[in-house]
Order: sequence, then structure tokens, then C-alpha cells
Amino acid sequence: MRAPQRSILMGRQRRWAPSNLGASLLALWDAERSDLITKSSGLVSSLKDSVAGYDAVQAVGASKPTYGATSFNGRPGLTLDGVDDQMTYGSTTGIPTGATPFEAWAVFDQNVGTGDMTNNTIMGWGGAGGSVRFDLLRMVSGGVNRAAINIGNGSTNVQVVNTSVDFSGRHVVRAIVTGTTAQIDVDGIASSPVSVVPALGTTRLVIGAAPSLASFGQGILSAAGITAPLTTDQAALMLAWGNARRGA
Amino acid sequence: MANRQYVWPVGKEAERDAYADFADAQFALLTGVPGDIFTYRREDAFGQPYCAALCPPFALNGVVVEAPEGSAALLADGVLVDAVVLPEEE
Repeated sequence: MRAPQRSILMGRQRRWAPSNLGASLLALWDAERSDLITKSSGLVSSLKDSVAGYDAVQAVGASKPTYGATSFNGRPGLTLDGVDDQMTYGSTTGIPTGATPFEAWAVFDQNVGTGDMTNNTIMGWGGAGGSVRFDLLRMVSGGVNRAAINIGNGSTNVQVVNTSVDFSGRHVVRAIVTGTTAQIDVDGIASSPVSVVPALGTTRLVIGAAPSLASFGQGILSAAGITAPLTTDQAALMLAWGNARRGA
Repeated sequence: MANRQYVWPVGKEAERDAYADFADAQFALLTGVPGDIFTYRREDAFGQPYCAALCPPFALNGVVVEAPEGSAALLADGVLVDAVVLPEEE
């Protein structure tokens, strides 16, 4: 009997996915996991994370994101309208709070124009107040769309902006919060670290708005996740996974 | 496309609620799910009551929903806007 050709064996190998991070993957809300999405008439009422089923829900029709089977670069996506769409996980069980180090990732098609000077949050968690929450967001700085993070340190809110990449269109964003510093990478290009000791509250996690249920995100979400601090190799795999989705 | 909103003058919460009740009921008919709720009821940065507008460009299954018959009668003081000014964040 002839031995199987190498190409056949390789074809049977599974493609790398964030689940390969093992215990380092803390939560992942993924538009491509149709088994974890509850929708009706194209409107999404529940999006469960793939690690532990953390359920981000929206009961009100006008505020439900719209599911599209091909809306994100020909792949599934959730459209957030920037006005009132958001999904809330009404807890922070399983989510880093206080000063716990973490990374936040999102694969997102940001489609707000630079004429809109408001902040648009992709995902945030903690308490409602700016001093006790984390936001991953889009903002305008210097007339250009930028990815940014807001991190509460218990007394105020520290903002970190990636001023290297125009955050328009499809991107992979990665926030790195070490417990003493924070930075935000876009498509693998880093911002300068900023000193901050986070003091995140425990009220809720929100996809598509800040935990204050304001600053609504606008664009198409492929996935949003939270990890423990990753190694260089793990981060490279996550970036490659996100880049494949966005077509880079 | 983003939902649009109806905004009423300060003190017109009852009119906002009447429209929101109507929109919720119409939305439940559209989805076929009794009790489905269409909109939150909130106040903007100026204390004006508002809620989402059940009219274009809101869509179900990709089909734009036209304003249901009877909407206009509930909107004497309601103004249709693209977005409201949200209250100052904490």
C-alpha cells in the first residue's frame, strides 16, 4: 500500500484558532460561531462567548446588532449602528478586573468618518464611570480615525491612542494591559506604552458601547476577545488569524 | 444604516411613551414574537425624552421597515433626528 502523500496529511491538519491558546483565552465573542448566536429576523439577541458561554444579550429590537452572513469581508459579521446597538454581558465573571493584566482583541471593520468626533466603543467592561472601566474604541485625533483605549485607574481615566495606523476599514486591534502599562497595537503596529495601574470595576461587559451604555460603536464586528498576557508567538498567531479574516 | 430617533420636548414623556408603546406593539407584529420590545426609553443630554424610530432605515431581514400606519398621529411633538446628544458620561 502506498503511503499517504504529505499534502494529504497536511490538508487534514486543523487551522490555528484562538481556542489553541488554551487557558490563555479568557473569552471570545465570534460572529463566525453561528452555534453561539441567537437571532431572529436578522437581529441578534444573544452572542455567547466560546470559552464559557458568557452571554452578551440584547432584548430590545432597535438596539440589536444585525447579523450578516457575508458582511465582514465576505464572512459573517455583526453590524453595530453607532446609535443604540449594543450587547451586554451583565457580569464580569471570567473577565479581568481590578489591576489584573490582560489583552483585548478585536477584528473590526470601522466605518465612521472623520467628521464624527464622538468616541465609538467596540468593547468595554468594568464599572460605568470612566475611572473604573476599560474601553476599546475608535476616536478622531488630528483629523484621522485612530484606535484607542481608555483605562480607569480608580481616580481618573487614562487614554492611549495608536497614532501610527489610520483606523478606517478592517483592522485587528490588540490592547495590552500589563498591570502597570498599557498600549494598543493595530495590525501589529504598536503604540508607545503608557503608565497606568488599572482599577476596573465589576458591573458589566458591553460589546458595541462603553459600560456606561454610551459611546456606541459603529462598524462590523468579526470577533472580540480577551486573553491573558500572550507570548510573542501566541500574539503572532492571533494577529495572523485576524488578518486572515480581514483579508490582509 | 443607523436607526433614527424621535425626540420630544422636555416634559413630554407621556407622548414618548405612547409612541414607544405603539412601536413595541408594531414591532412584535412584524417579528411575530409577542412581547418583543423595539426601543429603550431614555432622556438625552438636555432632558428631552427620546426613543428609536420604527421607520427607515431600520430593517428586518434586510428589508427596510416603513413607518406603520398610525405613527403620525402619535408624533405631534416628536422630531425625527439622525442621532440624539447623549448625556455627559461619568
